[in-house]
Amino acid sequence: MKISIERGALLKAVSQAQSVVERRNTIPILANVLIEAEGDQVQFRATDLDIEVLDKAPAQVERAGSTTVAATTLHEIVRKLPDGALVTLNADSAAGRLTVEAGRSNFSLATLPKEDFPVMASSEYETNFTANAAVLRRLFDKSKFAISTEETRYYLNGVYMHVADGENGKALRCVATDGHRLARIDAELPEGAADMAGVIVPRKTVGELRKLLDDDEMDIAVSVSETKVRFATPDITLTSKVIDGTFPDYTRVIPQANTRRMEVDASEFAHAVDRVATVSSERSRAVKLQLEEDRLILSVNAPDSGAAEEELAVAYGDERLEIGFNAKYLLEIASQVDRENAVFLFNSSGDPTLMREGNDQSAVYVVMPMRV
Amino acid sequence: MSDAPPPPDQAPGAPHPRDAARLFGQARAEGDFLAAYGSDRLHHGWLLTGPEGVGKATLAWRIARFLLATPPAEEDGLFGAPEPPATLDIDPEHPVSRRILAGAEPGLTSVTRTVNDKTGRMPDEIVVEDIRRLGKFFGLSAADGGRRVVIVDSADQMNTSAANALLKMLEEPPARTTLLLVSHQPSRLLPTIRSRCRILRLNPLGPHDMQAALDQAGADLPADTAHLTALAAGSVGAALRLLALDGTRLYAELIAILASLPRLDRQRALALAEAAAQRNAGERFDLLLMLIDTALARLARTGAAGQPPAPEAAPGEAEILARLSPDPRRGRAWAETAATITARARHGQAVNLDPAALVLDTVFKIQDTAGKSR
Repeated sequence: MKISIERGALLKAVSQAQSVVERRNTIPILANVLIEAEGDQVQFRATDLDIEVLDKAPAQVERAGSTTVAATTLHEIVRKLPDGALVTLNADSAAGRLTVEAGRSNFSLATLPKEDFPVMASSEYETNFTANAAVLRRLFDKSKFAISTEETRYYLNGVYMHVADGENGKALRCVATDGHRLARIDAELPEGAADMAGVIVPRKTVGELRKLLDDDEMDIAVSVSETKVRFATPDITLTSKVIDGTFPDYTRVIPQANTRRMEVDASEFAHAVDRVATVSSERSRAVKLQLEEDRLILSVNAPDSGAAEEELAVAYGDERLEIGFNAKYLLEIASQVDRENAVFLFNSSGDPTLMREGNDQSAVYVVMPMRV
Repeated sequence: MSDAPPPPDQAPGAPHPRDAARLFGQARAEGDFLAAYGSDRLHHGWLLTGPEGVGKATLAWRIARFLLATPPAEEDGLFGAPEPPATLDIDPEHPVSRRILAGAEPGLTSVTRTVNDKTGRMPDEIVVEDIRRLGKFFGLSAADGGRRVVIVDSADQMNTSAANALLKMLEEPPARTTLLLVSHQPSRLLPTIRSRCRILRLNPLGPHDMQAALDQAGADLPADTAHLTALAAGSVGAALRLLALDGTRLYAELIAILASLPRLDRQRALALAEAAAQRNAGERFDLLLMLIDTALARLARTGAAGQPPAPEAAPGEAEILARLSPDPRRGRAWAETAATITARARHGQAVNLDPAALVLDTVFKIQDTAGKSR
């Protein structure tokens, strides 16, 4: 294999591929990136056995072929090369070396046979549809904070992407929960997605996927099967295993009949919660919310370190209510609100509380109260 | 080669079990597995038992390779079901074989002892975290083909909490999952684990298979292998270990010391003890303890059977064994001594007793028994 490629294009492709390589990995081939050159493009493929990233870049291919080389080393080399340099990659399969040349720099890297590299078979996907990057970004960004980290409930370690009945008919929905809070985000159902089987997208995949979604104009091709999910832009293809489990019936825990409505400016609310929570250093910091007519008193009482109280003007017309929450959970859901006021719907101090943005039903959050 | 210690599932001096292309002398066990595979009702938990070093792990890796490389049989097609496979052999150039060798097969995971992150040391047991890591493997959807294989090498090393964690997975593994447990002493496993596995027994190898297996392992064999074969008792792993650490000479030395009984040759015993106490002689020390155990076992057998076991494992061994253990009563005395010594040695190692002192203590105990039995 022998190719010439512009340094910028190479760096972009290699850095996206190498990010999936596990840092503390003991298996040599999994630290490598598979380089395949054919026609007028070169592909870089990296995997941690659960996720595979495939990156394409245009290149001048003098001799087609393929090899594998340490991903981080190659990335570091390319990163340190001067901008605009033309990089030549030349694989000598007999010597088991890949030479990297740019200007006066010359590197020789050890390679491993490409046959040892585990390539995820592009199995048949039952559902294929296209979604706008901005839409997918909203779905995952607003839900991922609620992903559980508890390994025993592995089926909560991801975002459940499925088709559900939203307020305007069928919707593409992402749900994540850790048992204490839950996020349910809807988007308009893309064409061709109606028959999609629900899949739980693992946390690491959600993180990797985020890197594909920065460009608002980009269309992402999504393919889903029972065991795999794939997101593809023209340059990058991200394929991942999904979580092998059943996502719990979350609809049961979303309160339907909460009537006590409080409306508050989300950022003011978040700042106030953050301030009063300062006095308590415990990990599960409880913040007490005292609601009276158009008045909210936030307070924290930590017997060891002190107490704090702050008053906020809110819109509230129901009877008095006292309810406690974990400060971190409140902060996280409040930070999801970016356009309108946050609307909290309470029932009693022992029941889950619902939060949404204005009257927007397409993003709903549920949080369990704490006893204070 | 690097100076790093071999991985915990590799015997010293031997290749890693996943590297062995062929397995010798275990055709019956392989046949049993293939029959179960062909019967279309493959059990999900298998316990591979037998003495250490007869090829249990090699068989486990072979089964893993076979299962992952053999596509699930189609439902009765136009021409009926395809012939069931007659061998576990998989082409070493098969993509699955290549990936398994490179450690990059997504459908396979192996559980061994792992270095403790906090202390940086290799513990003696498989801890519960090692088993819990399987949760992640089982938690994600299966890779292509849908099969998943787990090798636990060895199951004996699991501590109780690890065993209990594994039990949960043995009870309800995901679909198309096979767990292969390698166990040298299945009686020491939790009965609940044993009862959930189908047992595949592997026997010691005959001389012919032994030779073939040693050749495959690339062993540098001495001209005369009679003593080695006798000492290894049908275990390739033991033979390789004896070869690597010059065990036959060590055993001959031990027998020479026994020959001086009941008036112990103290000089020689002292030299033996000091050699065992050298720095970095941990492996040799372990081997010496094992050989002492072997010698005592052979003494006990001599007494019980009325004649020394053939062939002899060191020059002049038969005569010495016959002299020290002439009748069943003394055979029993030796067996009792063996039990005490094993317990004492284990205790001594647990409390980090000076190896030299431990060896001397053992030798004196042997002398004691030899004196009594006269």
